[in-house]
Amino acid sequence: MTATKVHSSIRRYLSATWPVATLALGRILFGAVMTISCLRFLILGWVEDQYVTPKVHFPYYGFEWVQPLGEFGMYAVFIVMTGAALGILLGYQYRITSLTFALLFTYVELIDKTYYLNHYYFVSIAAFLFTLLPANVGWSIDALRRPSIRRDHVPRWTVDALKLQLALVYIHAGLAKISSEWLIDAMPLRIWLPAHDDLPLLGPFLTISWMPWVFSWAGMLFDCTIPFFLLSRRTRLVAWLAVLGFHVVTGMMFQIGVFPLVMIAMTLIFFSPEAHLRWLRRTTEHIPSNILREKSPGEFTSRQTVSGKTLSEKSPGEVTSPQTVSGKTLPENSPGEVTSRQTVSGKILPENSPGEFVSPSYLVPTVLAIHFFLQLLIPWRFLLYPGNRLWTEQGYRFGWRVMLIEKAGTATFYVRDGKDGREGVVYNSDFLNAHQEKQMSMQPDMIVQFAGILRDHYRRQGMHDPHVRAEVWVTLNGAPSKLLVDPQRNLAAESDGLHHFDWILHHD
Amino acid sequence: MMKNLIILVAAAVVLTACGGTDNGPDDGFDRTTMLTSLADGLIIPSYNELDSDVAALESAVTSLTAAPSPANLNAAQVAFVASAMSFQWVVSYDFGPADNVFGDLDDVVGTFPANSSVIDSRILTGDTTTADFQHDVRGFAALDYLLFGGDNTALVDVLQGAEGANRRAYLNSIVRHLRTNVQRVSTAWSTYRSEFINRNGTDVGSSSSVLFNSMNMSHELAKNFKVGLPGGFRAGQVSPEPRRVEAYYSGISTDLLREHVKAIRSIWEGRNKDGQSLTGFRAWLTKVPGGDRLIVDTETQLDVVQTSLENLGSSKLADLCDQRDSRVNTLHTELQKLTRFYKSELSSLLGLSITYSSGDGD
Repeated sequence: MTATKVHSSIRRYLSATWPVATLALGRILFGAVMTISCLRFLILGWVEDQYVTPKVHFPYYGFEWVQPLGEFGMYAVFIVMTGAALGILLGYQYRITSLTFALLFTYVELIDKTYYLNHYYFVSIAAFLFTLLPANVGWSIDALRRPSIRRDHVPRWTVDALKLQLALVYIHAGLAKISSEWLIDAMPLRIWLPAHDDLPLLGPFLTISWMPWVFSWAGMLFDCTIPFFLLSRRTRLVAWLAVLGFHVVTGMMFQIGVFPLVMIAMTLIFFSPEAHLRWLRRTTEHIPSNILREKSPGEFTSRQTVSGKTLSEKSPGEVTSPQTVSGKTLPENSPGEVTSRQTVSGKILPENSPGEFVSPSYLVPTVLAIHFFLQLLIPWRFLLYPGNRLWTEQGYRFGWRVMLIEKAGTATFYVRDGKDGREGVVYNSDFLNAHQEKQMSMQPDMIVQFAGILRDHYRRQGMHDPHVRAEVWVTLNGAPSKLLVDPQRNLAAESDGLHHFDWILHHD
Repeated sequence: MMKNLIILVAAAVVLTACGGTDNGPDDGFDRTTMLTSLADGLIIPSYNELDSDVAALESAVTSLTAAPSPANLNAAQVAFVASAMSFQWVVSYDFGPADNVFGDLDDVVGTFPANSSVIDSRILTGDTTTADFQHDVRGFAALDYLLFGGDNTALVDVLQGAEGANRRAYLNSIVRHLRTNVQRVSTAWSTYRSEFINRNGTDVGSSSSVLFNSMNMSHELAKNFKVGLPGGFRAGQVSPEPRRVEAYYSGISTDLLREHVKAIRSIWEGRNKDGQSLTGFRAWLTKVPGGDRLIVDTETQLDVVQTSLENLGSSKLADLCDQRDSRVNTLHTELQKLTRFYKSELSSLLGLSITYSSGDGD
């Protein structure tokens, strides 16, 4: 293939279009789940427990400057975030609300790695993806208020970006499960399944001796293959029902909050745009048309006008023909068909019209290409560190390693006055909440951070050159506890970072 | 499509069948049995015993304040020791009915050491309020101070006459407060029992998880506050602080500590107060992979802790701390070693949640 050919096929791909219904539905679902998630934090008192009450925090390396804002500030952040999520749902002031949500959500996550979860990481990524996508050009208050931004079609890559991100999550989660611990020893499911024998319907089966192997293999195969089954039109419905079943079961078994809901909702974008249009129409038909009329007098008198047909009747030259919405002519997974429509889409996408979100330039696609390139690399960075990644957890986060290990530790810190040599024990609960202590007790980067916190605290108390050492006993997948870090090393002299921590002891 | 799925499922089943046969069956463990056994055999009887001991203490203190005399003081002191010992058997159940407006039962009647200066000033001003968060002027610690904080003749003297009126009122008030709080929790358990047994899962909020967490808080209390602080082992302390022991004035801290450690062990082992066998965490461990190994490790360490406790002999804990006796340090270290067997390893093997408040996991 020559460079020109590559260029022209890239150009062809970037010019391909897709009905706006898919992107709009994705936006609505994301906004809805995020609204629920924010309200959960407020109602369950987690804002208080996680970001107001704790005396210290464990920021990410390089983001130590990210600090909580105090009680009033943190509640304000969550209330604004809830509003922004609602804004995404409704497509109201979308540029502002989507960016506000992405920034605030990520800010909160950066405060303390204690609460790191793969699905929060996913939410941050998805939120930033949405800020780059024209998800408000249809089925949104913005489009009702400003008809000029309204489009029936968006570039196909905008939808593909979301699908690719979802696929990467599943596939990486699946690949992480290909290990002898998971597949041969069926660990940690051999611990987890019998502990949930009180589940309705499923419970009695969970104590069957071979059931952990079924779950381990099924989980691995599910994660590795589900994106492909979702992409194929023939297998899509069954695949999504499998997604539903998988996440409902894991949601009942494990304390994973809104994660099942996020995935169940977001995978709906794999369905056909006709289905999406149908769902959107069905959902909005209960909204009285006069409400819509109020928003943009004279322009939109009924829900129908939002759909492609009426629109194209109004401005036949501007929009793709109604046929494309009906689906049969829609290019699903066949690049050939995209080519045939290329010229049409090329014309209908106005180049630089004001308020236009659909970027005709290569800017956003380039940003996304870099993003996905990094997404392919980041989960594998653990390969740069020696030792068992499940033990050292160096390069472990941001790798979609979901519910992979049963790990727990008991960490005892000793602080010694560098001058008089007097050593004392630290009661972790004097500094940390139960959640922070639990996470810190098994993760080396948090251990060295806590050592730094103790060093600074006791120095302020008047201790001379505090030495901090830690006896950290960690059990991995039910094995007898072993020391995680060198108990003689002065951790006060070590620092958090991306370098290999040579004070982590070997597991084997 | 269906064909693909069938092949997929079949492959999974075949692979599973190959992997699963060489491992022994993991029999389920009936957590309801454990919860019932511990509630009926250990928890409720312990509360009932404490309740009747505290009732006796209240009546002894009332007699003392009605007619201060060396004999009545002695009777009150004996009743105090019995109650304080019984209290060690409920310290580990600081959840459910134990929660109350001003804090858990442990906080409300078990806070130590006593704040003698505030107690003295409240007596001086005739302040007998019990409805505030100043827990260290009430409960066992305050009774320890007022019933043992001087020689007996002097103690009887200050209770007599018009000058002793405030002190008598204060004693009556705090013993009433103790009785009320203990009785409330003890009574509430008869209705809470079914809820306790029915929440038989392993998630946050399940009784197994709540009991596990409360047992570990109790272990931390014994290790950190009953041994570590008086011994001066906490980082930042420059010397022992013997007056921080649980019962400084009566000098029974060593006995209370032994009883406390034994009570925690009883939950893990599944034993009632008389040593008869119940179903506890140990029985659960026999039903999970790796459980037998943890049982051996835990019991070995429990025996070492036991020996360390016995080695304290009949000495007062405060004296040992003051003399920087190495036996206290040894005990603290051995209790510390026990923590991982009680906490991280136990929760890991049983699939129990460590955090008290919830939060998402993944």
